Amino acid sequence: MTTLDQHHNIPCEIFTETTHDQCLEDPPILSVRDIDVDLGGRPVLRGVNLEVRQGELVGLIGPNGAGKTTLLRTILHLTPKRRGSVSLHGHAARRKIGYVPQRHEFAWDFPVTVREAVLSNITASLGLFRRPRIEHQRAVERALARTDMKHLADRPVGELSGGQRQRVLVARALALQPAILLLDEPMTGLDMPTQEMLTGLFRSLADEGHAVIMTTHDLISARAVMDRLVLIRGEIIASGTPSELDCAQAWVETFQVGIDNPLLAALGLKENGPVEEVGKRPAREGEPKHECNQPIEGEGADHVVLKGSGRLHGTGHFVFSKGVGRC
Amino acid sequence: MLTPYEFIQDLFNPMLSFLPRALLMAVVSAIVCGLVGSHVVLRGMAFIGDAVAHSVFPGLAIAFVIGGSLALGGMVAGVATAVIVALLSQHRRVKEDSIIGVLFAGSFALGVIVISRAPGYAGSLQDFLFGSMTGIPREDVPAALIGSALVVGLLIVFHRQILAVSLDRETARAGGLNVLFYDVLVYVCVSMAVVMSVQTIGSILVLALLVTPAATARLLSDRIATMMTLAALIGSLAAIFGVYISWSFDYPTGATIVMLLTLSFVTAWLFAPRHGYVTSRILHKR
Repeated sequence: MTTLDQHHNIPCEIFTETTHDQCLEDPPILSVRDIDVDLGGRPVLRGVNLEVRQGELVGLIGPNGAGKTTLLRTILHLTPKRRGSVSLHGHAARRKIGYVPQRHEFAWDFPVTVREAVLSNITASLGLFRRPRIEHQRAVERALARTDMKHLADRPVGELSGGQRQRVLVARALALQPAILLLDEPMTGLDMPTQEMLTGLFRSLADEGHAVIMTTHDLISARAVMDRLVLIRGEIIASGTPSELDCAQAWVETFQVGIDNPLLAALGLKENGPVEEVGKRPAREGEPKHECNQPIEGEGADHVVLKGSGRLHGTGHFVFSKGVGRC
Repeated sequence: MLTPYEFIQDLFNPMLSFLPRALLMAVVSAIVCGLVGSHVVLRGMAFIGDAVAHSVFPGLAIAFVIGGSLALGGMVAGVATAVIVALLSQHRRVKEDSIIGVLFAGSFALGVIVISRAPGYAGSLQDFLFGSMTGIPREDVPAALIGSALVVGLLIVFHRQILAVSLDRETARAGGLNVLFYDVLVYVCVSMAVVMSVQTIGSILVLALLVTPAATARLLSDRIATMMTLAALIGSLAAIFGVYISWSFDYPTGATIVMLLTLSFVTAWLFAPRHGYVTSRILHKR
């Protein structure tokens, strides 16, 4: 039985590796190991580990300057790393990574149509002096169809709305027929219906087998939709399914906000609080048992009566004093 | 004012052999600058284009003073500036427009000092700054034509790559394109276009030949291939009519061409079929 200190603020268990039951049998198609990145002489990422499997929709979450974009760029070999490795496995190793940059990075005032903009992304893979072949044209048409942009294929890109522009960028990435999609803040600056539409697109791309990694500031939507969240602030603070990351502590540490921040409440996160052991006794018949989400070490025979709230370490059944505590 | 017939007669007059040469060089320059200038305008490089145009001047001046090939001197100076600017603009964090401003003013001043050491410098300076119909030697024409063909050839062969880099540098880089190479390529093409045009139109106004036809074409078209074709066409027409008018009235050629280009831009800005200021108001009212 785990002994609990009196009035001890027990932190939530911090994950640094995925513990998805359903994904454990699939090997990862992207492995990021011990990445250190410096930019302008200052450390931006330290000891970052990340594994992504096909079919996963992963959210990279963190404050501005946390290193989310830097991590994406490091995976793409756009930013040099001081240490660590990025590897693609299986079929992903034979394919390009589909990169969807932030919307403002694209020259929307260029006189090109949507189709030409999507086709331009396969240029590099063509090599010099080669024209796009029929299979490239088909890949472009499939990408346009997948992002529901076929009816706008001949429209100049400058005339598109924000949501349509985002879909063009996704189509550009899909034209490469990648196994992995990296999206940098695709939802920023878009209204709710557009975000909903794009979320549906990313979810279905993941369901089709793509590994989709996106950075986002929309925490509520991320918790609702993503398979896995990675909280990052220069290093990985926590990683897990949205239900595994329902403890406020990890989010507080990532965003450095107060525990009373209204967004944390809106996210439905559980607060940490002092937990006090007030005695041990066997569970009584019919007594509701409160089981923590997180399995914990220790024997299950004894029962500890605790007062307080928060997540706990230890196995067993915890009975809370009436009216106090959630777990 | 000369009638068009009289102008054509003058073109064939052996005593006026500089005239058809000037017209040919003006038209060829306009075509090359229209194509290169499309990239300058679309990539927001007008300032850098101006810097390269001004930096060509000390190369021309030094070549002039030592009696070397003007084209070579101009090319060396232009390409050197182009490479420096391309390297500086790789890291977008650096506010490069101040550095460019410093570089091009400094290089221009160097050119003025160098040319002041040459005998008869005032006349030469006038020609360099403002262009001269009479100052184009016959032996320069073949080199200019070859150079033009080379620039146009490079732009056509590497069109897709340049376009991919211009649309989204980071995605292009992620896809494996050598962004620095294509940046330098565009800047080198700008230098070559400028060197060829400077003798006709002068180094102060050559920027207009780069920017104005392409900017006008942008108002008239939403497709890049059409825009580049129109830019070359508009520039050529302005060159032909500019040489004609300047020959008729003894106006400076370069300035006349630029005035015609400016008028064409203003007309397009007002009356372009889709984007014209006046046109869109009329369409809006309906």
